[in-house]
Amino acid sequence: MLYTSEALQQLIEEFAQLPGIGTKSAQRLALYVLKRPREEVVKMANALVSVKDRIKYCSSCWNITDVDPCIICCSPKREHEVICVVEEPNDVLALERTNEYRGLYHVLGGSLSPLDGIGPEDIKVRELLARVNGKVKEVILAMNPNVEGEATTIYLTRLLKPLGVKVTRIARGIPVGGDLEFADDATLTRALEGREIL
Amino acid sequence: MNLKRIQIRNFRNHNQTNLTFAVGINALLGNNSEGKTSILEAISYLGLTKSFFGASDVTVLQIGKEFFEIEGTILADGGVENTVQVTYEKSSGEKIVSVNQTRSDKLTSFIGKFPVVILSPESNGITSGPPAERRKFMDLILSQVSTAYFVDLQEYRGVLRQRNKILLDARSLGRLEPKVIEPWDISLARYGSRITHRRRLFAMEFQAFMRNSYRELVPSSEEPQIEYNGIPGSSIDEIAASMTSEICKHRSEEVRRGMTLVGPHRDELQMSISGMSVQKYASQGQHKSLLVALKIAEFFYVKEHKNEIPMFLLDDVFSELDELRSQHVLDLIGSIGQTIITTTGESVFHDTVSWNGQNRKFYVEKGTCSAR
Repeated sequence: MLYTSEALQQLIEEFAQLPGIGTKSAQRLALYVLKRPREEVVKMANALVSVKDRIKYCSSCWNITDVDPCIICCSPKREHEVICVVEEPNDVLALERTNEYRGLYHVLGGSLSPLDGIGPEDIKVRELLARVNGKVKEVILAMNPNVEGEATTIYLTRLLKPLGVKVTRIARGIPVGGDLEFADDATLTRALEGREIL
Repeated sequence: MNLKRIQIRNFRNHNQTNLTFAVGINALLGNNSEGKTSILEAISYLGLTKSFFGASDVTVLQIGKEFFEIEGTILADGGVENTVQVTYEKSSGEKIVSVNQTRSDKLTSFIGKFPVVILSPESNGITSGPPAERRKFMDLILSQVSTAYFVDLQEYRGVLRQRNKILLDARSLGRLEPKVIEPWDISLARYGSRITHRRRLFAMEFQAFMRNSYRELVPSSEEPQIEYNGIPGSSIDEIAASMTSEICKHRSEEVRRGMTLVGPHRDELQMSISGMSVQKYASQGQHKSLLVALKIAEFFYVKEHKNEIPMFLLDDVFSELDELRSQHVLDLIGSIGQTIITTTGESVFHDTVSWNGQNRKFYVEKGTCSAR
């Protein structure tokens, strides 16, 4: 499509590259930016740049952070004997929202996916094994419920078990607060398989 | 289940076709390439979200149009009426399936809701084609009957794609690191064993259905048999264990060929009549009878497991059968529920079907359809 302004067109194209944003949404965002006061746009632009400049990866858990080690790894209030392994920093945010989990994290940076060229060397496995020393009592595997997450879980289990640490995985099942009848069949099927003895 | 109405827009040569079906036999009459099969194809979108002979969404979209839309009003056997809508948009390449205006995001929760059984010339491969055709036959039945099976199948295919990539890379590198493939071996055995187990149970149970329908079609002492040939074992665990050891045995060959050689994607549903392999020895007549018998058996099998009478679609079946067999087929399907049949000549119906409110005939010409 042709726009009357090259600058606008460039911005739309940049927005359209973002995940979940199509051309139409990109247009709307670009026009919104255009209407904002200049200082707000500068603030937004600076935020974008500083994300790249300031954020680093925690050398312990590989989550994104401003300080290394990150505030979770440094916190004396957290249980340092439990590590929850997740695929992406987003997953840490999700688990932190629960306010329930008090242990540490380990962000792998992905899951095993040969089709995407991701093998065991490309995710932070060696770093995880190095962390599991005598002090760590439990490793919780919280991968996504898909075939790649499953393979990653199997892979890590085989490496972690010989270290003498308790290895657990999060349950798959029905969303809390949802009606059973509205749960989709696939979830319900897996939930049945993972039923527990009372 | 009863398909009451269908509206088809911009689909193949149908600009806008609206049909109201009868509860019994619905005959779509007309010459070749007037658009009869396209109506069955549109119905298959309502049940399976795709064309029954594997045509892509772009292919079935009318040339020069931006979208197609199929809407069906389906009365479930329990008495609830559902509106199913399938739309495809060319520009986004997106296909949206919705039931009663609610979008159905997951294929796994849609497949099997509105079961269909289809007999068309494309089905011929089930008795005469390669093993893949028979696996497809089983997979389509079991996926409609069991969501668990469909989920396992989808996951198995995902594992297979990933694992094949590893083996393909190993082939070009000339070496394979055990730790790279081991997790995928375990996943393969886990999902593969469930599929093998389910298919084996299916084959045992399906045998009786098939014999019954074959006997109705061919009044002789011939006994058809089916047997599932795959990784041995009578429980999921047993199958998984033998699969794991088979995987180890085939390791080097898998690397050499760059693909997964062990698992249900290589299994076979062996068919025979009175002990003679159908693929090797059956006559043309036996092939045709067996195929019709398999499809009628599928109909009853799905009906029993879903507690829902499937829609039965028959595409140009009578041109392949002699008069006697055609009559048998009509006798069989005349009483079982709703069927939608395409045919070029209506003479086959003369003696058996009366066009009252139960049965209806339609004439299809150049993408338009009218009831008579």
